[in-house]
Amino acid sequence: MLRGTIDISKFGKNGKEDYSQLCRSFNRNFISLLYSGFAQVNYGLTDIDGIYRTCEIDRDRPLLGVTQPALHLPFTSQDMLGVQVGSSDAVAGPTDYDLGNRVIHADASPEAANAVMEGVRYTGSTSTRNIYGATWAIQTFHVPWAVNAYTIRLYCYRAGDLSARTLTVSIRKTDGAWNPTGGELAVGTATGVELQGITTDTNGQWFEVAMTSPCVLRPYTRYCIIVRIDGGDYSNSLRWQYGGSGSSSGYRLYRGGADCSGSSSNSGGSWSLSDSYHQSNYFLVMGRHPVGLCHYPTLVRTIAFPTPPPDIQFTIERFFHNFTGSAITLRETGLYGSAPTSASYENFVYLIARDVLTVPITVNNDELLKVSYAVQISV
Amino acid sequence: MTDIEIKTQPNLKVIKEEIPHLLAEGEIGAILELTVSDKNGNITQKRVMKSESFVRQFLELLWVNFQNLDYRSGRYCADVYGGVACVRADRRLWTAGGAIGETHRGILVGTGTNVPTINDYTIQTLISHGTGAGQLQYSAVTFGAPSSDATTSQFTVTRNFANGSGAQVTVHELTLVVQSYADSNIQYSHMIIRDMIPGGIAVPNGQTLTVNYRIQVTT
Repeated sequence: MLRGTIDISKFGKNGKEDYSQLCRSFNRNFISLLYSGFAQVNYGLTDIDGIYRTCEIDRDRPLLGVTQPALHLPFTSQDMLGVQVGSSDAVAGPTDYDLGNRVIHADASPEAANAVMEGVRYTGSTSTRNIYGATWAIQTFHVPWAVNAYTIRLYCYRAGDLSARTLTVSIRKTDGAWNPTGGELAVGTATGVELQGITTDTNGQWFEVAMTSPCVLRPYTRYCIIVRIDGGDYSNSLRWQYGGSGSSSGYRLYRGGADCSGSSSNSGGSWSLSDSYHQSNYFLVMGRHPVGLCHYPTLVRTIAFPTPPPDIQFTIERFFHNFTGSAITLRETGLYGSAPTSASYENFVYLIARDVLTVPITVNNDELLKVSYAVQISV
Repeated sequence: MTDIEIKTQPNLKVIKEEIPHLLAEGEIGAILELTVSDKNGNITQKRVMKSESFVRQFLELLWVNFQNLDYRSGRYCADVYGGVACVRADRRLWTAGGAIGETHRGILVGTGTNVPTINDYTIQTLISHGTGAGQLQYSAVTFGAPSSDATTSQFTVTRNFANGSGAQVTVHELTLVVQSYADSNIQYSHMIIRDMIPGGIAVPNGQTLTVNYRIQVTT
């Protein structure tokens, strides 16, 4: 018999508490990745963003990695692989592609003020995307760690009169082709009075738009900033500056994503992205670290031969530390594994197991939690 | 000797059959389906049973895979010939596709009757490919793409064994063998499952045994 168990230990002021249950929910993604390896075929499955991607068999880029994410991953944060925890108790199913409500990685309490979390600006030659009416602009980006985004800054200047206009800045996810997908995760607006305060000097300046509600962005997920104005014309528009080599063989100005910037001439109905020209709009994501648990690295412990049986097992474990100042209640666990696609020479991340805890576990401030998946065989 | 055609079934297919539910709650495992059919395709025997015996090599390969280990830090894992290979994680790990007559990967059949142990690394007594006495003709290995129902996900590994030996051949053991690539880019074969068939399954002359391993996880 081959099976998994989940063992959880909580270390607090009152000592150690242990919980254990069967791992019931290795899922279809796990089976699909094994299948891809067995049959040596490319196979499509849904990543943790809900995007259908083709796992492609490619030399030296294995399937199902739960550790060591550095090579070929579209993010730098180790927390996006391996053991995960969350707060949802929605019933687990074979086709789950992410935790119901994943608790993100945060290694400190949120700051009191916003700081630059991501962005780019180049002081060399620049051009502008002119935003008015149905002509919208877009910039895609990643965040290097989990961010609670409060404001977006655009490097821009104003042409003409925008006093009767409203500027809207939104954040959305993108699909596999970097086009916006899903609803607005966060949105902020600027009034005509505020827009009239933007310089008309073509050297530009930073202009900040606050999101109505801050939104938590996670590493791995590809986001975009969409900027639009309700009216105006070419002579009365916002000029969002961008730069870059302008050549597909040139340098990449912004490496936080595929440096896709672009525009839409039909109010976002379709998008023209300039990835091949390596250009980026100048933007800053301003925010704070979000509330979450500190995710220490996932470790795969060495193979053991316990007595009494199981005859052989190894464990995948991760420690979580609560620095938030308040309690967090966990109701689910999961495992993230990576697999390659050769299309963009990147690996993507898939949920390969998800379990609802039989007993919710509250992790108080400064408590440490260890979650272990034990994979076992008994003959 | 009887002239038996080996069908290779090169195309992948989505399994349409109902997914069998024999695994215990939370179990990762395999369902074993054994079907014997005559030359007209009529089924003469069918058994569905739980595959009982994943062996240590499965866990070792999974361990290497989960960690993305390369050949400098991989794990020494027994191959089917009694040697060991330092297995590394790369895209070819788990390769189970075997061509007609290949007995170094895919599903293999044998006549051994020893009870499986966790340390088994090879089939006890291999039935070799051919039409001679005691031999079966191995088809190519084929795969059924992943599918799932409300509780279970699976994919299928299939191989046909045609009896053209002129006499009945009884199969008592089954193994599933996958390949890895170790240092120097050399392929190694590793047995990951060894199952016994209680009482054996007889394959009369002129008939074909079809073995489906349905690798499953349950929710």
